[in-house]
Amino acid sequence: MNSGDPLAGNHTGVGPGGRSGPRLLYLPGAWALTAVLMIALYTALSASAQGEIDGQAIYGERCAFCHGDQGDGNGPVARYLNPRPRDFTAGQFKFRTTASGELPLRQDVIDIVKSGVRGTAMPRWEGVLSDAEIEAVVDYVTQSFVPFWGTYDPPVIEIPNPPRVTSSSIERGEQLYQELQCWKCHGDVGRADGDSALTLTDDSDYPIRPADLTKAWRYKGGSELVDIYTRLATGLDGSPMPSFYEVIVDGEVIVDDDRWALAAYVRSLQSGEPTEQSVVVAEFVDGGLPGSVDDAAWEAAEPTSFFLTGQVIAGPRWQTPGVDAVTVRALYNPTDLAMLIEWNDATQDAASGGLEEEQVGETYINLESFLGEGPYADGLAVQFPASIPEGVAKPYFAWGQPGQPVNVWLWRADEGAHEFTGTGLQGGLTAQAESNVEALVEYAEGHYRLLLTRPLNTDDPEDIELRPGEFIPIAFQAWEGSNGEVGTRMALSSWYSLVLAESTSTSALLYAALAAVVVVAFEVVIMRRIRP
Amino acid sequence: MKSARPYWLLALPLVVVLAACGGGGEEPPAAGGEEGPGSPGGQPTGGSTVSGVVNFTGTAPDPEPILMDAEPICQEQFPDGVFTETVVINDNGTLQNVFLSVTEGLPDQVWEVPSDAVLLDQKGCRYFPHVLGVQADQDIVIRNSDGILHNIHPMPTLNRPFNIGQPVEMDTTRQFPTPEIMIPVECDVHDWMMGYVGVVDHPFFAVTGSDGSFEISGLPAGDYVIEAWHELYGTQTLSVSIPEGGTEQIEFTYEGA
Repeated sequence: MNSGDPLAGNHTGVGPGGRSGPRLLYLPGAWALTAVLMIALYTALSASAQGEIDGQAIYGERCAFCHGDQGDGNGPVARYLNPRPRDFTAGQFKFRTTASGELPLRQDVIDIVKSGVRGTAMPRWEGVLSDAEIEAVVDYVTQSFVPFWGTYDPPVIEIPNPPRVTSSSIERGEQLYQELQCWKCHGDVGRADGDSALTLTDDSDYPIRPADLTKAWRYKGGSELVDIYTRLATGLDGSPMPSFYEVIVDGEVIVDDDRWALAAYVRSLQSGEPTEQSVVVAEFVDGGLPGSVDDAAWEAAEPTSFFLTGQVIAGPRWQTPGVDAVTVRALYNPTDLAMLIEWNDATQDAASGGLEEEQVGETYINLESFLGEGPYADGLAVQFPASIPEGVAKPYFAWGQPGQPVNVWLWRADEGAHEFTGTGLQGGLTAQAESNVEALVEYAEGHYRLLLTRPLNTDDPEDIELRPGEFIPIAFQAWEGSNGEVGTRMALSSWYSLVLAESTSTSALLYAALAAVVVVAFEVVIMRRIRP
Repeated sequence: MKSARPYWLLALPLVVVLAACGGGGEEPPAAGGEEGPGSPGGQPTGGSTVSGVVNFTGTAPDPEPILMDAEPICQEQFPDGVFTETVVINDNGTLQNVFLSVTEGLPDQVWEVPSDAVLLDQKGCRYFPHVLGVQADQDIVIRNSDGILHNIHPMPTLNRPFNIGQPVEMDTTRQFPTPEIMIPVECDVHDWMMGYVGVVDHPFFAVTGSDGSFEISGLPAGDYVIEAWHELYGTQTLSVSIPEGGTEQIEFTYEGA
């Protein structure tokens, strides 16, 4: 959900820059003329059409599908969404600048409609609707559905200017994180694995998980310092997150500096956000590969992070994956490749009730239909084509296709690692008779570290042969057992690349030096011959 | 939605306030006055009383043990174990934690809000009292006596909610301006913590304690409807006529499985 449609290959494929169209579009003069005309037209129209923008019509067209005709959050698709759409009739709003439990300001609602809510189905409306349209639909929603709206002035929490973040303010923030016991839900280092994390429900009694504070992209109200400060001060109404505005520490109401310090510490926990980088580079090691996930040798390996998204291609479609990112490092030596794969998972699920019959044919999954099933084991898979494709056509990114199989190194918390062959989501994965992949795994504080090792070449035609210098397609899949994930109900990535960097070993250097000496000697000989 | 504030009444002496009776027969949680009828009161209250008992017949569900392993500070306060308070049957066969209030028959007037606050204490990772009665707009002091993180999270429908983090021993004072029976109160950190607040716009309410009895006094003579509320067994009503200065006995009976 965060990374968009995997089919679009949005991380590796042609981005928005890959435009095409009539040449006229590229003439600056044409653009300028169009802009002037548009502005003139807009000004004229907005002057005459003001008051004619129909908030109710916009709501019916753009909002009701999720939020419902009556604004009660029960639109036709609501049951497929997690988190569910806001129920305006409950009068509770997460993202406000007002005190706990109070109505938001009109501007707060406008702001969230404009920005959208990351990690949810609520899109960004700025640029889709005009400012006037957004204001009209906000006025329609608040005045039609929200109880108490306009009956009183909600008390506003003033947000002062943020101070500069320093190492000592972060240190103070860490101390406050302990004292205020943020870890009870958010976990010791912010990975959403606190003791209370799994017991939480929202005000409508739907299960809800605390935010994983290490994932900047999962902060629904924004991940900047001022966003975090605001959420701490106001709380997230309708959710278990309370306001910490009136908190007393050491006999004193905590002051702004302390809230900023806590916000700074929380922000310092953010890490591992995937970037445009789409290649895992495996450096060469002349000797043994790391034998553990803690090995200091991993520091030499550049980490690369990738987004995963729900598997929505084949039924049962899965919109709400538990794992949305992995961080990968790789090293290789003349015989083997070692990969260190890390991801967050608030619960360690090592037991499994076995793979269940898939509910193939159901177009979408009703989340509630999975409650009480399982248990399911956590898992992670690294996928390669069985052989490097000759042309540009890689196997289908989701477990390959008939005629273009993939080689999947699958680790499961209950069964360990094994090599599989995949020929598509319908066919599933077939265990190979001989598996050559070894796994070591560590789980701590809501975080998996998985070390997979496999020979570069196994002489098995179903296995990828890993050759230095080639761009080897690589993809990832993950299963979060506590999230009801099993089989094709999983998180997956599109194709990225793995490159085994060409070795610069000592023998290579020797040959280079020898070659240089030979060349110089040859030149000397020639010079002597030429000279009279 | 706020009830009108009768400022003119401030000139009058204090109204008679009935004790909210506390709950569960534990420590007296109500900071509100314990004074009975006849204490200084300027509002036209009477000398009539309705009292009685809430009986229970049949079988109550077994109390479920609460696992507090995650919070040793709380767990150690219950060496003999700690159980849910959904249904608490007293030794004399009566039902605890029933909220009683006058729902019909009161004279059409605005009752002054007591200046004393009532206390809702979080102690041993439970609410004391489990069921609290309060007058609309009256201060509720929400206390964290445990010194560990609680968040006080009431879920009203007629009043505005709130959700305040209390990570240390501290008090937070709040009011509910609109009558509402009942407002569930939760702590998200400890999902077993559950309490209820009953908000009425007059002083005629009570909560049954460890002997199942209740008393609502200071009523003018009249015909009243008394409503009993229990979190599992719901509401019941009884009509009662009380002469001036008299006391009427009534009995509610809830039936278990």
